[in-house]
Amino acid sequence: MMMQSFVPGRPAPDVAAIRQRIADSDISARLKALLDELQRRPQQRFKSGRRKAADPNLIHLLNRTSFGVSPADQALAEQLGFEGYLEYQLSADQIDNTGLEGFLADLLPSLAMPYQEILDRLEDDDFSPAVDLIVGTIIRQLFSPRQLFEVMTEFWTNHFNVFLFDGPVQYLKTGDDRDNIRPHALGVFGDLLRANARSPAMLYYLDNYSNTRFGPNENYARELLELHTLGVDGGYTEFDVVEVARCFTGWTIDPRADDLFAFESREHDDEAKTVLGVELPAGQGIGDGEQVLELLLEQPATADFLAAKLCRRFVADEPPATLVSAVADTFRVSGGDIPASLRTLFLSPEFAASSGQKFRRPAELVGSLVRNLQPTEGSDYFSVIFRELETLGQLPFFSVPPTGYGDRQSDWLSTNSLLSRWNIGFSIAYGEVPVGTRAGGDGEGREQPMADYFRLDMFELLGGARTPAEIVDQLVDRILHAPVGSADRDALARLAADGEPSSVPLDLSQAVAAGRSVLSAILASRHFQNR
Amino acid sequence: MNGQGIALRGLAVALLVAGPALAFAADIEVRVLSNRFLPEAVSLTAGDTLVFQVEQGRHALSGAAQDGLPGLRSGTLRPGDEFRLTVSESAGVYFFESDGSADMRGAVEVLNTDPGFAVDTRVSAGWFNPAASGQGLLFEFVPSTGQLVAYWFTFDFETGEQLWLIGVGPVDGARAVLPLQRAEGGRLDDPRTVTKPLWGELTVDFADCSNATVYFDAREPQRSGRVALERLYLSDLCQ
Repeated sequence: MMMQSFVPGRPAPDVAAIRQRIADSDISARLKALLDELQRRPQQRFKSGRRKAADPNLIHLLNRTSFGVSPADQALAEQLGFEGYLEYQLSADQIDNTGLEGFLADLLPSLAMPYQEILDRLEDDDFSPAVDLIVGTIIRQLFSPRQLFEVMTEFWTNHFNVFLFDGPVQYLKTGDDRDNIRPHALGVFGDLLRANARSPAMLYYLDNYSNTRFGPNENYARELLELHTLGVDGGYTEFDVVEVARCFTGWTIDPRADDLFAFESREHDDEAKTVLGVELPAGQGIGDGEQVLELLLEQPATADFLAAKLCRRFVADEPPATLVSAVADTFRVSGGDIPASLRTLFLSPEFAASSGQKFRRPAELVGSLVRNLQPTEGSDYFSVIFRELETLGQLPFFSVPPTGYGDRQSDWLSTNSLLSRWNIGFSIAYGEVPVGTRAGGDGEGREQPMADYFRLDMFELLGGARTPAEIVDQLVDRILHAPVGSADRDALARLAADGEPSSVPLDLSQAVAAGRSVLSAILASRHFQNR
Repeated sequence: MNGQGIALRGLAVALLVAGPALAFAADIEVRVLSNRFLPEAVSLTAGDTLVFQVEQGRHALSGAAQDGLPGLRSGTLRPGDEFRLTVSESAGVYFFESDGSADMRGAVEVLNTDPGFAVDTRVSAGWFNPAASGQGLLFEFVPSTGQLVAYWFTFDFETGEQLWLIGVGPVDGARAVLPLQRAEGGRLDDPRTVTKPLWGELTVDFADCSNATVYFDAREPQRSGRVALERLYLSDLCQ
């Protein structure tokens, strides 16, 4: 097996080791310097009674097309309008991202390394492209101006999921992410599928590298049909799985190839096959697998399956059938054009009617805390972000099964997870809540409060609001961008007023304390937990 | 030393400000940590002394000069150092910061303990915001009950329709807190009962008999804010 020649014996690092590596690095300090350069924080001015209400449709779009609504993105969206901002985000390559990418290239050089260079450096003790990829992905999700691109990158990463620490995947995923997922995340689905079929990370993860005519392995064939294209109800049979597996015999990994992909004709089953009722003649070689991919791309079930999955991500756990059908039609007519399909989705009345119906997944929850609140970064700032994503269960590339991370509320909402979500909100809002010893987890030293890592400027958040009612309205407007209903507003005002009238101005110290209480309640509320 | 506001001295040196406030002066500690002040906001009265206790990091504390106040400059402080700042008689909010960490800000609010103005019949007049002429309030102080009556003639936030709000509430010094009701359903000189559902709440803070600020909390639609008011006419000068 060609693969055996470079599978290293080095074990995958565990999460604690990754956490420690991040804590021991200068990532937080360098990220802080970058953010100081990239995003001078706008001062939040309190405008008495005359705040221009945020356009709810625009906020809805921002919530669904980003990892959290930042004040800068909101301002840009208000300037461009709904369709203008959507087109801006769909044309991601037109968005200047040089500052962030230059920073990442300097901080995490392995992200740009070709496969061969990564393989050559595997014996270096301080070399861990997997950790670099995790760090780079989180930073991009949190700080890239190409937010919809990053959302779609995460979507397709999940769609073509590989577990990062499944053996050599930790060295192969960097190239897969850079060369196979990102170039096509807002491109054409067929290109994604073709690239993924040759991806050494996928070839290893689903065992196709060992799929030969002498020892067939059906794992990739099965997931190709069930998870990547047709869907479990897509009309294929067990016979099709076997036949597709035969078509991909000989697709393997060769460390001598630049892209590590090789087709070993001697290991390919070159007899005739039948897939989905279509006969593939004998002697096609690599053309068998290529024809299967084209056949799958043409299937209406593929468009239906992907449309449903996109609608589930962006609209509702159980999306309206009318919308799924419309998106599938666009997908088919456009030849799998992803921006066209997304355009149909986001401009639909079904999307407009779906505000607040999606539960924030952990990456979106943490992203919203960072992007919306814009905390001042303390030392070890990045470690806290990593740890919270770990606590909530959505570190990038950590999903073990090929299904990837779930996209329904039921996948994420449980008593324990909700408690963790509340704890994160409370610790950020109150600041002085201890969140353990060093975020790096060395188990020593004093209990450090969240504010050591992640500090809010309450003066900026309050923007001059001083009465309980002003404080509530200011924070609801700033964090949620939409009214919360009379009952919830009254409850928040009572919390802020602490028995006093809601229109009486508080002393500054009282106002700050009230602001922290209200903020904690908002972050714990369904209004923030949903999007 | 500028007598209007904050007085500063170097390490471990307090400036005693002469005056009656000294009888109640207190030291109020502010911990200086690596990236923040704790507490971040302090409300105190003239004569009190802020005591900055540096626990982590190196910090040069500063505060921009404002309202005629001199800037705050502590020089570099290290863990274990203390810096004291005594405030003189001036109400207001002053921000200070440290060069030890980006955006590290704190604030001190000097509360005005002067009983100053007390509401009486001198406030009974028309009041308005000169920047929003065409709407305003009528206040009427009722000495026999010690209550303030407010009539607010304004416009709806969203529809722009004329809005007439009425409130009555007790006075406490320079402040009155009034529930506001919205008069609805009436017709000119029509005996039918006007309905008056609760619209929200209004707090009126009188600085003197010519200047006031109202803080409102509207329940539906949900809106809060404040309006700075001036007395509309001054036929009777305040004394």
